[in-house]
Amino acid sequence: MVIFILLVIIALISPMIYDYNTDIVTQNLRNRLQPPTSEHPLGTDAFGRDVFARIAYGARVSLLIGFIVVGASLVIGGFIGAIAGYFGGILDNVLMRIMDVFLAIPQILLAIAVVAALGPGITNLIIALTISMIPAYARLLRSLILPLKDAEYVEAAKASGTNTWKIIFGHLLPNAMGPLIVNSTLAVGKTIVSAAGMSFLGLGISPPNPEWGAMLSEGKEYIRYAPNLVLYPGMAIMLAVLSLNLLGDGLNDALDPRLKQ
Amino acid sequence: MNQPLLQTVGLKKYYKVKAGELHAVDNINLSIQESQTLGVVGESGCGKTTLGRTILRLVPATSGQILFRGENILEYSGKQMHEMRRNMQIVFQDPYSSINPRMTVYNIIAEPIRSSGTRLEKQNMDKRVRKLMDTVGLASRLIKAYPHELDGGRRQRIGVARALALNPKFIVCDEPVSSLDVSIQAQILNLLMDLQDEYGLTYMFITHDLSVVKHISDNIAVMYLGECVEHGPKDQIFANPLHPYSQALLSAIPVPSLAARSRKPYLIKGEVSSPINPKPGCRFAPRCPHVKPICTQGELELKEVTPNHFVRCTLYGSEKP
Amino acid sequence: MDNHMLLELKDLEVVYQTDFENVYALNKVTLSLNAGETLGLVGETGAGKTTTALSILKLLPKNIGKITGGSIMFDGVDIVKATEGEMRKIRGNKISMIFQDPMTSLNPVIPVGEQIAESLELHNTQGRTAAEIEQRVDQMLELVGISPNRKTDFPHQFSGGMKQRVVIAIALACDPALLIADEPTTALDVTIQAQVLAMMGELKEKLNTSLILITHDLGIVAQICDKVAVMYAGEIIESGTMEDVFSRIENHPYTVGLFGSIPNLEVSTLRLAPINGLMPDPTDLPKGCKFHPRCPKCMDICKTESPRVYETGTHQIMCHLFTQEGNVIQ
Repeated sequence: MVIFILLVIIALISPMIYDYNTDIVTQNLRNRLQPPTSEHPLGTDAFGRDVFARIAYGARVSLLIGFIVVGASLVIGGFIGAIAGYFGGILDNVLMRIMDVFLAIPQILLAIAVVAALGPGITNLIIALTISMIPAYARLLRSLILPLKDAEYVEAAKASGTNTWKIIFGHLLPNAMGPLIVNSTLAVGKTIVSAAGMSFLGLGISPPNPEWGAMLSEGKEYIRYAPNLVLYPGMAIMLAVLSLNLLGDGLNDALDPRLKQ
Repeated sequence: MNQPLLQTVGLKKYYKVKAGELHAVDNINLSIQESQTLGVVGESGCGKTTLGRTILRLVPATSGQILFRGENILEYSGKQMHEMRRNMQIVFQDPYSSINPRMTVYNIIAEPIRSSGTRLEKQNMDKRVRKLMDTVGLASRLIKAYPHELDGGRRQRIGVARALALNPKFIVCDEPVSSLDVSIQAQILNLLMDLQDEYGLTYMFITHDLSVVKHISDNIAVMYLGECVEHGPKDQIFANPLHPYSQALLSAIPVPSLAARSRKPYLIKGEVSSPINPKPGCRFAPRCPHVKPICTQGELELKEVTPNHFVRCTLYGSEKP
Repeated sequence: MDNHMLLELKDLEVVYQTDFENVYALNKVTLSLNAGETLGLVGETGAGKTTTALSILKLLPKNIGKITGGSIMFDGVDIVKATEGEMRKIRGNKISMIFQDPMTSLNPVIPVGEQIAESLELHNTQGRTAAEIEQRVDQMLELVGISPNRKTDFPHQFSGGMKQRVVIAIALACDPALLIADEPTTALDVTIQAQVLAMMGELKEKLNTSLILITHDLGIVAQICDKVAVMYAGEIIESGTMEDVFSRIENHPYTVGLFGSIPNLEVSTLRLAPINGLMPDPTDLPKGCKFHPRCPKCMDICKTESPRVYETGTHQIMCHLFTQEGNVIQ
């Protein structure tokens, strides 16, 4: 939790400390591959840019991608899953078979294919990752809704004439929230890794924009002389994912009235 | 006789399963007069719960009619049915699964009012919810509480308040007390009876517990494997049960008195068979001590043995009054 | 028939300790049972019935449930002091337990015959051979009214009532001196319940096994028990023979309430006379008599002092109403 807030703060204040043009993008070849000093707490990269500043800026990009992708796929996938689960029958079959087709393709491969079709860039990366995550959410929500839709309180709501959308959004979704939140925070972490992976492969954020995966990719060539170039972005990814996982657990407990004492 | 408030005519609910057709509710003809209680008794799997849900159109009926004040609600459009739901409500068996654990008491009780399309200002809604809570004996300080903070008896009171929220005429009570402790059970039974007196409610009371049914009902229908095997006024059913299954059911209840100790219960062999693709004739025949060849030949009719007391059994000929 | 004292609980106290609170589950429970007798332990949810049973088997949840006082003597052994090894020899062999739900107490992937044989193999003190065990399994199944041909069937091939019969067969396989049945028929339909109860009554006569029947249903008690103990908030508030309690001449107000809560099949009543209020919170029991906040006959003394036991013959009632009149035996 604390780590996560720290990351968000870093992401938010980084533009105040560092100027995008001078500190992040501008190359300063005289300062190449410096070890950590007081001026550059995590050293500099192959182009003489401050690693800490780039990681801080990268946090903005990574977190943004993570949340937008998960948010969008949650809404779209969740919607598909919820109606499939609730209405069942043919609709369920058709929707889920389409999702199965997508699920059969490895997620990263699907994302790569989409980016290859649309071309690299932040927006396309987000679209690609979202599409690749939708089926997982459709599955998840469907499986969460299925046991809930036969609960007696749902029947009670039907008996009192509550309309279908209110039942889905008022009764079913709140009760499916716990696993959904945990899963989503895990998914944000996963997305950050995927985005980093895509960037690493050169399919995501293009240089010189700072992004953790892209930084890893750039740093890998210098791993022998300047391991800090790989080490620190890697640690940033790990910390972000770890803190998101812990956050998910915390949120689940906090949102369940049954666990509040 | 007046027009009954609710009547079913040849109501059927079949489920398609792998092995064939499951006759959950088969050809049920019942009627309930306004402000009276019909007790529906039977063991697990006899279709009594399905019957209640079919009547409320929570599950679609296979065929037959459900007449509410003479109108067949199975022919109602979605909009008409939505209006109709104000009149028909349900109280469930399990006070743990029947209320949404994520909602406060206030929201649970207010939901039917909101869903019915009635727009109430916050203040009036507040008043209405408090009034309902008071009616069912819930302290109004619990208005913001979540269900998990309350015990089974209080939860069941919430369930009753929710059912009452729209001022219904007819309530299906599906085993409303069977998951409660005896002392709490008695409190809820008293509450239901008081409410009936006060608001002139009509109940269909579904239960497996004959002593409860005797206490609360005016008329009783005994169900076995989807069929109604006997129905009639409470006193007649208890004083003079006609169907061998009713007799067995009655004598199987353990009575808490010394006198009952010496009485040998009238045991029936075997267990309930499957309601999937039932054989023609009496469905109780495999367990019946009086079974004759005629019992499994052709469908049996409900016969009126004494006024209003019907039984589906070959032991009672139509020639007898 | 030898009628020696088989089981005696004296001032038994059990506390469940959790991080937040202490639940006082049993408070000075005293009980005795002779060989061949059937005791009905009656009470509502949370009265301590199941805790009593688990204490006798020393199966209280580890690290949480603790016996904090009193003694349990079973056939000359003090169970409170017995080691885990000694208990293992007693459980399933000398004392068996039947649980409420027959669906979950059988292993779904093992044929029922093997499940019966298993307990015989575990406690093979008589040195039975494999053939003799097999024979005993057949005998047990026949005893509970199941054809021995079905011993290779799996639990899911049996109905609820039949499963409970299998459970009973397992419990009785080692010829235990004491059988504890925790709501054995609650999950069953009434006609099936009647069958199982009738069978248990017969078996008890035949085998001379002592039985503790835990139930919330006074009707079941009336059918097969010799003695009754009524529990409330971890105490036995009334005990005696069937006649003592069910003749309803003198009863604890709670017992009166229990009788009043049951719709009577033989007499029509317009209104039930339930007990008002709820079971007290076991983490914070009221002072004095634990029942006083719900008691219609509550007096001042009830709020401050725990009642003593009023005793006439075999009938014991823990209530100030009776001890006040001077019939105190202490």
